[in-house]
Amino acid sequence: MERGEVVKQVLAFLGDRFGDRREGITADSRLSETMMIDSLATLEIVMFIEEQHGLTLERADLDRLTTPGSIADLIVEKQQG
Amino acid sequence: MNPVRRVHDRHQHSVPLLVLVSLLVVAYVWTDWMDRYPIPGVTTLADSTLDPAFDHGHLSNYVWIHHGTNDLSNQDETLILLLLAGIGFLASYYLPIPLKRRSLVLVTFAGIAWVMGGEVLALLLAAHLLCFATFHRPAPGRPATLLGLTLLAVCVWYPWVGDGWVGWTLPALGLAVSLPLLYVGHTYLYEPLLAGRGGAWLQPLVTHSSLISVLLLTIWNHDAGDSNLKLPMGLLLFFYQWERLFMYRIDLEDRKVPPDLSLWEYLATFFSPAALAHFPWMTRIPLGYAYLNDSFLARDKNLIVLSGLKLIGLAVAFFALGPMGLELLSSGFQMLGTDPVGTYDGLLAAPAMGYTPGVGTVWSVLLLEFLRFYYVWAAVAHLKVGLWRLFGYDIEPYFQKPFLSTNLVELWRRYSYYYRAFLVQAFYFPVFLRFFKRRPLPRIFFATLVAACFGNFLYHMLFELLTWGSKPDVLVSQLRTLPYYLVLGAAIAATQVWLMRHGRRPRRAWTLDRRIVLDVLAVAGTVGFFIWIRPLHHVPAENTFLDGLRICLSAVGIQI
Repeated sequence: MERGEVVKQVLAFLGDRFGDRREGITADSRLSETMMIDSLATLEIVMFIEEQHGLTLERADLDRLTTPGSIADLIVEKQQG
Repeated sequence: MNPVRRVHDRHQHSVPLLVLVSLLVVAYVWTDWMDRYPIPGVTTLADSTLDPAFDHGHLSNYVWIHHGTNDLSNQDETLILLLLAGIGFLASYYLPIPLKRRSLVLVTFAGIAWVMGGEVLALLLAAHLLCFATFHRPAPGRPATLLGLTLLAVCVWYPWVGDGWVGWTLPALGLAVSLPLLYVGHTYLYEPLLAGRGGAWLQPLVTHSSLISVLLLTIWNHDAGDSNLKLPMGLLLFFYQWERLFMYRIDLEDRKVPPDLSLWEYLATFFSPAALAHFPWMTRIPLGYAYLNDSFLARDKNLIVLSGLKLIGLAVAFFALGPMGLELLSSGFQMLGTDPVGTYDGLLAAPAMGYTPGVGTVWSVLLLEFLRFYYVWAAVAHLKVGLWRLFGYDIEPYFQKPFLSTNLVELWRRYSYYYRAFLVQAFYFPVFLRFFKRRPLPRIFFATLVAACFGNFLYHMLFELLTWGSKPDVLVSQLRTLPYYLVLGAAIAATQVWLMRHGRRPRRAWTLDRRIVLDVLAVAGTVGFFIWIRPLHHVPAENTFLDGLRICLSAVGIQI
């Protein structure tokens, strides 16, 4: 899957899950600043990646869930093995 | 060198001046130091002007260094801490970037040697050098390895030193024999073991040596009577740093620590003058290597320093105003006619005495106890974070307006930022990534429960066994608090699941609209629950779990 497509998917998920807080969010928006991302939100993103893309994440990967773009990069990297 | 740090390392000479003057003011306010001179200190002035009825420790100098030498009073220790803070600040402010953190390590070592003794420092350092050798495997002939082995041998033989040259001969011979043995053992036994499969279990073994040691000691001390074995002080201080070591190992596993990290960088993760006061408390501030490294000079150092000064001022305010506020509140409750059970200990002892306090009494005592704990805890936490900032670390405050928490998950984060973050990293994420992968709600619930209940309990068990002695009665007393952790953990886990099921609401809490009343009620319920279950945490030896439950129920008017 292309990165751009994954970014769109991630933005759609964040919008669906976190409602109005997605206003103005782009691929480079820091989620901690715009959406008050917490440990629960981190895990929801993990579950989204696992379910939608059939990938397995490690603890070190969680630090990369900082922007929609970095989440998409992680997904693409994992998909490419 | 990190170019961002260089940009942020700009001197403004007014800032150091302000810091030094502020530290002098803190020393004046916090201690009786000036009483030694013709200028009266704040305490003396207050004693002569305040109404004695309200003079119940209007200023607490509750900063002390655990297990300091008997030669130093709390006042002396506070002054030493402030002096070291000043020296550490000047060094970390003016020295070139590569030397800043080294200087903090050296100032801390000087402080430990001064207030706790050289042998304590030697053993603490030996333990860390062994850790460093296990995590980073420097070559056997490297100075760090040699120093670690030498210190270890010195610590083993130092207690055997006696009077005169005869008293020195045996330890000196022992040292002379054991040093080559240790070196050979490290080179031909330990190092090959680390390089092979042994590395996989030696690193966790070293990380969790505190837990393993206290449990073994507790078994050993069963029926030992007066011959209870105690931990040497240097090792005790090392064991108190379990969380920080755990976080360091997590960073290492997650490849956030360079494998060839220098010894100085390693030591800088564990030693700062901020750690000296209340050494065992909140040793996790700030977390591990990666967080610490990322936060160093992360923005203009002058802004970081000034924000640190603000926190130190807040700490002094907590110390100064906390006791006074409690006194006023207590007087207010008494005027409202609450029962004279009075103290928290009195409340806990009530069931054993066959006395059932009324609802108002239970809540007033629980609230006073919570606020007493809160002001001391907040004061120490602000002081520690403030000092770290003074040295250039742009780290988060430990307390983040906890009284704005509208649910337990938020309270957990706002009330103990670093502790929660430690439990999340050490227990929550690993459990989440391993169990119930196909069932989201049990997955979230179980991971939260393990962190908030098991992890929380484990930390407190270790702390109690280190602080009160690794003895079976201490372990049993800690096991009696398990229901508290279960109730708290289950409540936090249930809140987490609730938050996930209902999603995040578009409205942020504390938005100025009609629903702000609900926010106030949510805070009352959240903080009230946290205060309400406290009797389950402090279970006196003569009480049963049911006695604790009886106090909790009497708070809601149910008598059993």
